[in-house]
Amino acid sequence: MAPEALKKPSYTAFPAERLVPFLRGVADPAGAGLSEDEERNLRAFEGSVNAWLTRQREG
Amino acid sequence: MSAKLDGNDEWLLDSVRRARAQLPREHRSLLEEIGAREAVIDAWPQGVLDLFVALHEPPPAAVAIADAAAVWVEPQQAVVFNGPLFQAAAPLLQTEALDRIVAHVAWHEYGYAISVTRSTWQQRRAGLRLLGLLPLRLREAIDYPGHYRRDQLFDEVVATVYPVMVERVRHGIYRRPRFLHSDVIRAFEEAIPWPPKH
Repeated sequence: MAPEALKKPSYTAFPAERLVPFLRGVADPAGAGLSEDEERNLRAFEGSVNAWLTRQREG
Repeated sequence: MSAKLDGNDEWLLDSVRRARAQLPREHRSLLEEIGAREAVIDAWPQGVLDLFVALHEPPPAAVAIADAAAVWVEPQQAVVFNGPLFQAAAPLLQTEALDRIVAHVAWHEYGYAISVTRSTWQQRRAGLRLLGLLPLRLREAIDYPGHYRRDQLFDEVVATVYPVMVERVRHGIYRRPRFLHSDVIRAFEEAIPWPPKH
């Protein structure tokens, strides 16, 4: 890539769809497994994010 | 900070700022040098677009940020968080669990802010290769190909690794993690001063 193709973007969005994979990766980067509490919290958060995304897309 | 950047989700902004305060002092200083700010946007995504308009900068397409959890707004040097999205999760989680989630997202954004400010185009050329060297769990967090352009990958890799490393030092673990490829660690340490000074 040429340098001019590597200008800093004016914004960078963190997609909500990637929140839970990201949080799972940070909590368990080596894949050793999450605790029951961590898993329960992530699933609750995932449900909330998915519901929000659905509402957002349905306008 | 302007009124538009202040937002009304005070608990979320408080949580984000607590997360910033938990970062190593050296990194907090870097964020101050950058002039990095944080805000919660209630009217998502219009409130984000308004930030660009206020600076006479071309805004992104609304559709490009509508489904975002957070956005780094380069012209404002600001990390803005999607208030309604996090607000929706608040009733479902204990405060401690929600704070931890917010902290990890905030640390990602602050890591991105530091990296995108310090990284060079030569470093950013390595983004795709570094993405391929991440452990599966972290690689899955980065939507490529799809959401990100190739030239955003370097800073995104650094930002994704950053909360992992911050968690480790908060637990007193300063040694390099075995689950990260040495090239990833090298690139990370070039972008983020590491290990951070106490």
